[in-house]
Amino acid sequence: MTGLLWAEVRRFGVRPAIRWIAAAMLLHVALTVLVTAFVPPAASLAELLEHGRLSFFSVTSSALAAVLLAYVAGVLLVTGESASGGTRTLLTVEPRRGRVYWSKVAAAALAVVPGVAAASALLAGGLYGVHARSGTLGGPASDLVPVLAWAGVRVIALAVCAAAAGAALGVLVRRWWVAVGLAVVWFLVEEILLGPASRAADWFVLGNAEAWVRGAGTVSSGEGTLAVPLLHGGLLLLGVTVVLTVLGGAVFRRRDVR
Amino acid sequence: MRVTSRSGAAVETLGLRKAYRSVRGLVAGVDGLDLRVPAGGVHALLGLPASGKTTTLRLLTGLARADAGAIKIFGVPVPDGLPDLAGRIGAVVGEPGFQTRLSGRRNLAFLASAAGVPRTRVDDVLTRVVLADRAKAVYGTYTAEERRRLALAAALLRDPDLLVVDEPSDGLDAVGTREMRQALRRLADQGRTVLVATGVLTEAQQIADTVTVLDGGRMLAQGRVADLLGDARVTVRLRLDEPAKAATALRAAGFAVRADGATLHVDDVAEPADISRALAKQKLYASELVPQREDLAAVVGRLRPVVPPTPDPVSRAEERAARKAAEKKAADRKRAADQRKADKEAAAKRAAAEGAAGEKAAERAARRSDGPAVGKEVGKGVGRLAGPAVGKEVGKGAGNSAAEAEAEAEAEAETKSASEVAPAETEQAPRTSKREQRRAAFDAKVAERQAAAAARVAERSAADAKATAQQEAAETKEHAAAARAAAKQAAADDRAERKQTAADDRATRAAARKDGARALLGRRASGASGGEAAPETEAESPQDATAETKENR
Repeated sequence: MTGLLWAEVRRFGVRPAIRWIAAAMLLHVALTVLVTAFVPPAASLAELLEHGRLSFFSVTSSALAAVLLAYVAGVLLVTGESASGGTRTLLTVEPRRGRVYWSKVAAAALAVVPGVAAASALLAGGLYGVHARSGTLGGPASDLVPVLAWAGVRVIALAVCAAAAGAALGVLVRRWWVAVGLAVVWFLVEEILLGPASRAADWFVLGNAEAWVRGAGTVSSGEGTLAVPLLHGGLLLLGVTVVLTVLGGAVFRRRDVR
Repeated sequence: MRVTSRSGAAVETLGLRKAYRSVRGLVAGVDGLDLRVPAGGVHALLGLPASGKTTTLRLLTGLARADAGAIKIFGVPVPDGLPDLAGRIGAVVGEPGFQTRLSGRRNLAFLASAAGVPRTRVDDVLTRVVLADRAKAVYGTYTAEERRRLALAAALLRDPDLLVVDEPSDGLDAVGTREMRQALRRLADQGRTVLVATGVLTEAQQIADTVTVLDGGRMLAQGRVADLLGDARVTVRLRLDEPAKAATALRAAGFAVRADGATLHVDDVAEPADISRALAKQKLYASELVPQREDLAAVVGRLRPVVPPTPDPVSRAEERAARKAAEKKAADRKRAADQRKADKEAAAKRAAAEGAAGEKAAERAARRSDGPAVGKEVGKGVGRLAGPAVGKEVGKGAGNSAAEAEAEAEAEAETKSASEVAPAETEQAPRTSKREQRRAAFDAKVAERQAAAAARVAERSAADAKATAQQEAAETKEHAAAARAAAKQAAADDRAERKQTAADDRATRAAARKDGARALLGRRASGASGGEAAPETEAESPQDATAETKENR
């Protein structure tokens, strides 16, 4: 299993599309830091962290891009292999489909970690540097660094879930553009069609992802605030990821491989 | 070599079925396939495109799931037992999907890592497929043959007992094809089982020991290549200067010849040299003699079971016409039945009228014989009438015409009526004894039976009369025909006689002319010198003889 996982991760890493996605993510973070550096900060870094208003991690703005990119990476790992015949060849040397599937899902989840971690580190370091230069840290470094690190871990966890869910969805729909299109449609339905005022807003995936990334005590919802937004969001996202991956595994075991 | 199944077969399938969904509905990929691949050697799945070869391989390797049927590889059920077979099966089915930016060696290393095979094995297989020199080159720069070899190397990574290869020579040039076939043959010679799906007949003939011929997802034939394909018939193409003459000569020698313009095709030839011999005997020499082996389509066509042609669907107009014809026939039949019924009823009415007339006649006869004294006398009278006299009359009637028979029957009916009337009159006479009554009843019964017999006799005589009439008509026809023939013969004789007479006359006239000429010549000769006359006479003689012959004719 380890060899299979390692092979899949390496295969994932050599894919040009994945490299482009990682580069885009880092470029986006760098741009965010640059914009923050040239615009006078309205609040200190401590206040931003307390209210979860880091611009990059705002689901409705920049954080969406990172999570979406992780999701796309997961989708591409599976659909690209499936289209080129790599999965078929892999199954001829390793006919245990369960192993192959879970190795793919795990590889997708693991493979996005370095990229997202790098992006998080760049963002955290950049923001710290910008605020330190302007003297608006708002607290000692010993207090700010753990908070920044915890925010980065949450983002990485969300990206891992997104990549795993993307890989599972890629197995289910078999075409990358269908899987990406589904994500876009989901976003439009949640944000535009239903809106945050909907009664089901507490169960929206994107809303809970925002709450998870912010890590704030409360998050506004349709009828007020979520009681325990961090735990609620985390469990909901984990649940969605588990359901999708289990469903994908069941389908992969039964389905004909092209 | 490792353990195989108890039956000695590497692969066994039973009733394997797989259908695909398409825009036209379900399409059968494999339909009830019973495959048996013996362990060791090369087995070819041979078939035209879309015959189910690749689908079968995909089912065997677990890439696709069968809708029905069972598969066993080395005695292990597939796909449930595939994990137990990990490492025993290697497959090249479709494009291998290697990374184009990586080297061939690195691509294999990924697979080796996934399969848990040591890295050293990668170099081994690369050497085995003669690709060690190009191992470090980027896969994107590989030729089709090298790509094929690398795929084969990937399949050999785990040193499998069963190697499954789909279209091994697909996309390869002649050299690559030969090398690939040799490589597969070598692997089989090393004790492995090689299962090859191919649409190339010569490939199967060259490398396979056993073959399964597929068509439309079904198995047409399975067995040794020598048995199924080795006796592949040869068609010889011929070009000659005189194709028509050559065709006649070859047909006379027992060959099946088809003419195609100036080219001749000789089918089912066991030895092409026989054709040369047959042509040489007639001093014909071919400018071109090309033996053409049977192609795959011909093999499949030969092995394909003969399906009786299904009748063309009947059009609505045809249906309507058939229905009308049936209705008309039924109406005719009904009309004929009605006619028969009407005839029967008319006959019955006629018989009833005749019966009534008979009764009246019997009554009259009874009155005539005894007058008012009835009973005993009436019975006696009836007995007398119904006795020998009636029988005699009936006997006569039988011997006569149908009309007479009918008259007799009428008389009998009258007698019967008389016998029926008698008991009634007896009742009117109070003095009539019981014995007399019984006697009268007996007489009436006798009369009734005699009347029935007379009727039967009358029917029979009518039939006889009819038959006699038919016979007479036939005889008359025969006589007429004979007379016509005799007249014809006489006319012919007359004509012949006249001709003969005319011929005789002509001969007589000719003889007379000849005599006259001779006499004239004699006179001339007597007037001239005698030495010249003789040759002239001799010279005329043949002409005269010819004239005579012509006239005789």
